[in-house]
Amino acid sequence: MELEIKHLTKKYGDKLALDRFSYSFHEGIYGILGANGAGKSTLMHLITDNVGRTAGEILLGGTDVLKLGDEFRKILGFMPQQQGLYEGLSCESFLAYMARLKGIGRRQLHAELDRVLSLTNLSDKRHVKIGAFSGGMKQRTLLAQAMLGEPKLLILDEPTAGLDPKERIRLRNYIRDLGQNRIVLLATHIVSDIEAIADDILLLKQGRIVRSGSPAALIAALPAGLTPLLGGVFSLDDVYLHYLGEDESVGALTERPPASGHPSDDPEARP
Amino acid sequence: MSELRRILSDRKRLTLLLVLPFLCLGLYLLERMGGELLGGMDYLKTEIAAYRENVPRFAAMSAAEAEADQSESYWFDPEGGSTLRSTKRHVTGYADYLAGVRAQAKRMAASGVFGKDKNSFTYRNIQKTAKDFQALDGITVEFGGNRALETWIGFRGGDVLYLLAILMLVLAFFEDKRRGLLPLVRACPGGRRGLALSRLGILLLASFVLTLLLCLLPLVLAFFLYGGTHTLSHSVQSVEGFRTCTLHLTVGQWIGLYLLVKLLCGFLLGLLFWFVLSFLSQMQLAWLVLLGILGVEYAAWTLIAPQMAISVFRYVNLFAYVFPAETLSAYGNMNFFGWPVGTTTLLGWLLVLLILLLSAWLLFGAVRRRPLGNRDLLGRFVGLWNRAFDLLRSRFSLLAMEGYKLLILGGTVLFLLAAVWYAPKLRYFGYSFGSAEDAAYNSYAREAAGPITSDTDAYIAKARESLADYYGDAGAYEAALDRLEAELAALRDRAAAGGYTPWLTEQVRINNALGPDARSVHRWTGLVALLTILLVCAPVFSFERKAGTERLLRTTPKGRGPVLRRKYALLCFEALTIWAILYLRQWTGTLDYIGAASLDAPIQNISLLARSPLRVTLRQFLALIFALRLAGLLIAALLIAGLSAKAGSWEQAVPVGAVLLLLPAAAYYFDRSWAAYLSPLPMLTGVELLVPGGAPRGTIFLSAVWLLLAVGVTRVIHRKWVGARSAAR
Repeated sequence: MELEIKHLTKKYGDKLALDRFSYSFHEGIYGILGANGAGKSTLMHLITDNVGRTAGEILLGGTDVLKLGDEFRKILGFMPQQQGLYEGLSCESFLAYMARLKGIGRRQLHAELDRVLSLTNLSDKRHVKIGAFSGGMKQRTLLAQAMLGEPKLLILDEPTAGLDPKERIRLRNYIRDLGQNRIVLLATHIVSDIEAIADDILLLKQGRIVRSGSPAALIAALPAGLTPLLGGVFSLDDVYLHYLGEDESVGALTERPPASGHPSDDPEARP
Repeated sequence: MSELRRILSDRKRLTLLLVLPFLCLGLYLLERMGGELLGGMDYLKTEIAAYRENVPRFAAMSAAEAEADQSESYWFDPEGGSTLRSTKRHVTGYADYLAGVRAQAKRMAASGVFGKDKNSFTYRNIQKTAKDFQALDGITVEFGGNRALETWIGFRGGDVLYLLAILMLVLAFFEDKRRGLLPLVRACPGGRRGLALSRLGILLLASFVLTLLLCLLPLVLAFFLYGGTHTLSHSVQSVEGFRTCTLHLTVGQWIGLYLLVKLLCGFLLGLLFWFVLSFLSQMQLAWLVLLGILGVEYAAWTLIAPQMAISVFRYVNLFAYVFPAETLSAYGNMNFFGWPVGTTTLLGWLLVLLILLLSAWLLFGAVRRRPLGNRDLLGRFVGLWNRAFDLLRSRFSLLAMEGYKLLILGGTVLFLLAAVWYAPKLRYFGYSFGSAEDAAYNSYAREAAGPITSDTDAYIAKARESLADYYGDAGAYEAALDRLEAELAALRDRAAAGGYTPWLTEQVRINNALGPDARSVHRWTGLVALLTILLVCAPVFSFERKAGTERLLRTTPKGRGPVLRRKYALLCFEALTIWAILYLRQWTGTLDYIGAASLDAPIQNISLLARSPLRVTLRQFLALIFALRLAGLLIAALLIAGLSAKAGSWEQAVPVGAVLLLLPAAAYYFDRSWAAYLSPLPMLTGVELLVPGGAPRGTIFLSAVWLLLAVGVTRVIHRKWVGARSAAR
């Protein structure tokens, strides 16, 4: 399966939110990294057809997703950044409703609900009203609905926002497993979320891809003369700050010769 | 002060508080106008003028003269107050009434049934009643125009608004809890007892202000309308409705006492709500609990009769404090462990005791209660309820879920219930009155209604014969039969020329149902239907936007077309439901009222409809009217859906809908004919479009424009909701 994006452009009035974005996504996990306003959410909403594009194409298997319509949405799982939920419904009722919208039949419904509730650690809260949930629990509910029906294309916009460290690790590990046979696009500005699990990372700045590649390749490609942010070895944080950081002096302050960079060994990332 | 400023800083709340007194006065006036906005004011003016003229006239009359005087007429007001004649009767016979009460008490105490057990409640009650009424010996009752006081006491709209205002204020106290700020507030130096004390002060101040605005203000208006301030110095027993009141007070003193009690009742109600809400962690649940408590109390207050063994629940009741006039104006004893206790005394003491206890608890007990980590017993119950309900909800089809979202999560089921409650109060027919001859003519026409045949002629001949045996003045009947014969001849001629069956119908009833006299009735029902459909359908799309779920739905295979189709199916269902609630009963009522014999008449036989180009029977014509109303409701629903799709919330959609749909409709209701071109109300009346000469010229073609507009709006929504966003910017 290939999701190919060609020259995708989005303008909000005069403001260019996404500028001729082109990329081919295959099975695997893609981290889309960028500061606030870099165009990550716009890209997500363009792919899910929640926002109209100004120019460009989004092709799945060579056909534009707009033409595919419901066929495209059958393989899509989307977790938006905003916590839009029916607060008067219980978690289970909400997920059952979303399952129905995704075309999951009555027979598979309960098994599927059990699966996603267990994955998001919400099994014991399934009958609680969403209105009584904390921000983190709402986030997990949104993630659970995205995972319903095991979609082939999973688009997650800031999935770990509001989660505690334990839940973040749990989620990261789960997403890593998911990436085996599907495309997972994960937009975030939290570097550690994707450092350990993404096959490829796209660095977005002002609507453009400024760099892309595997975490190791991005680190290796850092220009000479920089100093690791935390000393020791280079990490993706250094890549982020170098290419996307607002503080342009990060690179200029370095005096020591560069160390050979490898992704930091994040203990949280261990399964 | 800062807490008061915070509460009043909410613009919606402040606006509502400012609107309340006007709403209260408006409701009082509407009640006095017999619920008729159109023409009601004329009625009220006539009634007031006649009343003001009658008061001094009756004051000067003797009891016998007053009894013989039949000039008083109160059209809408059989229970709104006593007549001057009955007041005169009451004043003249009050001393006898008191003597009668004492004599009856003696008789009952002496009788074997009541007097044998001197420790029984019944015996003690008789003794106490006699003793209490003895205190009224020598009291002077005077005749006066008490209509202002009586209509004010009978007006409950102000009390209901008072209750809602207090509830709204108390809910404002819990805003910090709702927003999760309670731990923060409690961590501040003034966030505990100081805050509770200032809230107690605000509640007392609000009770005072609301008493002035919602109780005193309507009284001032009542005195302004009906006069009668001279009665303020009369003993309160001078007012017929206070016959059994044992308080030794003048009318003025009683009003003062009532306002004081009302203030304390308002304060107590506030404390009670505050007390209940302080134990509930979820605000949605709090609403349910409060509504439940109010529902149970109201049921007990209205359904339990005073003589029932459980009558204590009727007297010691929340609504005894919502409507305290009843307790303060009438005498009553309650069985309190075998001892008769005056309801006024008991409720008075209870009022003071509860105020002290609740204030103490809220000031010293509730502030110690920590906002987090409390045992949530109700929460556990809610969990069980949700678990059981999830079994059902998880099986909902998409349509059922859309219905659930709109009616339950959006809360619009309350508006449907309000419509169900209000529908029986709607009038269906206008009224016209005529002479004795008209009445006789109508009666003959009703009996002879049907196809005009030789049987009809035979009926008239027989009726003429029977007049020969009539003892009174048969002139009116003869004239009526002459008219009927002439009418039959005219109908035969017209039918022969028009090529339809001649048919005699009872024209008066048809005119009452479809004619100009019924115009305001149909417009009012149409206005109510328009308001209901606006309130019910406004959240259909805006609910998704407010919840933030629109984008999520669009990314699912069934979240576009299938969801949209179900939303529209639901809109149609809502329109049909509102039609059924407001019009179905009217339809069957109209069929009964007109009578089966007239229903199959070709409508050209009816003078009102003679010029109609439709070749249908009256039954079919009525079906068309009611179908047109349904079509009007459907069009309104589609237009409201358009507003809903644009609005960010129900709160935004309703005011815009009110301006675009209700204002022109209201203008049309008040006979501004230009508004017929701006409102779908003529279509909702049905009658005005189909009865020749009903609505302004061209309005019928406008119905097609409304339909096209609704279809256009629906297409736009369809494109926005279902279509790809490629063209969107």
